[in-house]
Amino acid sequence: MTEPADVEAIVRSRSAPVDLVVEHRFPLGLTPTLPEIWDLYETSKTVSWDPEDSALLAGRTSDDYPDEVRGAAALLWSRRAWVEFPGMAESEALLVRFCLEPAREVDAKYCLSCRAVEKARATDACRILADWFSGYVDDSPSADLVEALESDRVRWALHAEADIDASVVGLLCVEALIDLRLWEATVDATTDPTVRRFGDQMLVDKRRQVSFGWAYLDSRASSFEDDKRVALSAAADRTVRDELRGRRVSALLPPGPGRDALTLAQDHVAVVGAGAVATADEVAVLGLAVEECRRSLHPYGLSLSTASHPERGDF
Amino acid sequence: MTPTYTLAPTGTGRPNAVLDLPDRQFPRSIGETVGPIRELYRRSKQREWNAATAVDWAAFDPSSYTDDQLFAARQYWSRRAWGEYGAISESPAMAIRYQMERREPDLVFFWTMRTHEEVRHAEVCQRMADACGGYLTEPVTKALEGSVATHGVRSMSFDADTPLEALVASLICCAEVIAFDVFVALIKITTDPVAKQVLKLIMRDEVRHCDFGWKYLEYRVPDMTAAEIDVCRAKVIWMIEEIELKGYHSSWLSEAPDLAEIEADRLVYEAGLGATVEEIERPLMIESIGRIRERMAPLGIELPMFDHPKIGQGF
Repeated sequence: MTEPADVEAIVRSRSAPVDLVVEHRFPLGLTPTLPEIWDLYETSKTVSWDPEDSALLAGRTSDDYPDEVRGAAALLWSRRAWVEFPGMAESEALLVRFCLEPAREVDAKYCLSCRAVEKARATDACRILADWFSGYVDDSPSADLVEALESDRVRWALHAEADIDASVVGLLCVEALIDLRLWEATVDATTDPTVRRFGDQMLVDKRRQVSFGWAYLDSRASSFEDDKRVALSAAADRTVRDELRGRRVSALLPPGPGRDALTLAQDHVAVVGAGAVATADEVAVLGLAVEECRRSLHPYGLSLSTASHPERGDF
Repeated sequence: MTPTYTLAPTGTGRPNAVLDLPDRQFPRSIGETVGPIRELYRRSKQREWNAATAVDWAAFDPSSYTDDQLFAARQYWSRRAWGEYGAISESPAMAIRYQMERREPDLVFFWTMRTHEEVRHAEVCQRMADACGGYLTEPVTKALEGSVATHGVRSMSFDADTPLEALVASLICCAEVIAFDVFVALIKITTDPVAKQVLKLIMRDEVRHCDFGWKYLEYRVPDMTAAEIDVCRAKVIWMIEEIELKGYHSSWLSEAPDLAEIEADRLVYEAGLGATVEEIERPLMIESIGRIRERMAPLGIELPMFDHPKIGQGF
């Protein structure tokens, strides 16, 4: 077995071409075999929504807010759009990989196509809210955030050297659950009715994504051997390490003016209920979510190591 | 303003070189950039349908058909499902390319819906095969596996030496448009009400898929050099000569056609259950290539006349 650290080096290095799994398409099962996941697919088809639906803004403007808050909210919602946007190509990459792998279930493939659509909706919704406040911002004030968001996920999903179930654990289980818990906290703290309407809609999609990831892990887990568990646990660790670099939680970015700009904006928005949890509280929510991931992985023989943050300590 | 993309070096012979591009996210444009493509994305969101409920499956009456006709229809609809699945397995690679090359954001938004639409096409065809007696997981004639597997969308999408514009021109504006034109005729000659309903639903989406190709080419051509346009031309000619006229979509065009498949398709055609046959497709192929030639000419893509022993000379 290739050690997880070596796999990471192979996936990230550009010295050799990305090696793709060779597809053997037939026999091609298109009949559902995972009822719980098929139900999620069916549900996603029936609860579609459109961020461009004018009813969501209901003709309201953000003029009631002072300029300072509007600018802060625009930055914060832009930041969220930056996190959601790569999820589209990442989902398409996961779908390609699922199709390349032998005998992966059609239920999961179809759910991944829904995930891509939902990531598009979430990106658009965050961008629309940013525009609604004072205009979408297309660049990050923090170079550290730029780095944290550039994590080669498409290569991780596609590279034959990387176990696809590692992406399942890392992205579809651990990251999705962290994202959901942060989002729930955000929506809970939101009093602005317009922002709340968007937040509630996105929450429905995110809950389904979490259900999909964990149900899929559950369907696979009985086949895992020890080597594989090591690789999957490493993926969970890597995901948490990525989060501790400030991917979603600005307070975890390294100190500097970029972090200050983002955390200040978030706290401004939190005070007026326009779609944020106070930065200090958000770190605590992340800590609880990591703990929940750790507990949820345990029954599958997967572990999540303690990860340290230079300022915030262990998670 | 001339768009600036991030393109992989060409002429290196390195496979999947597009995947070696840096995972660069910023500046991150998300809003509408190519209006006509954003509009197609909007239309996709508004015109979703559900394969489980959009078709009156109870209206299908197998007793109207002989056992031979039903078995042939099972094969035909299963083959159509495999074809749609090909778009699920391979076309998401295009979305990955849009993101890796930092193309206009509208492309990746639209593509998430496009992949999702291919999912429902596969599902609805599989359901139709089930209605005819049961979806088949592989070709009855084992040798056919290769012919229904792929024409290399995935590998071309990741190939730096195939410019995206050439991919769009050949795969979408050519291959998909020919398939669409045959599809329009197919709807006219299909008499079974359920099969007709299925085909109409698929066609509703395919119109947008073809439009996407033309809209993007029309957007890009003004900024392309003569040499770049010539690469598109060469790729379209290759697609017509080496793929379409060699029987990728229409087995009867192949040098060694599968007679069992042709015979089965004729049974399905005569039963009005969905297939077309050589005498229907031959004039369509001529008209379709003619229309593509006409539409490409103003874009500077001048197509020659083609010959084929079963179609004739100079079409």
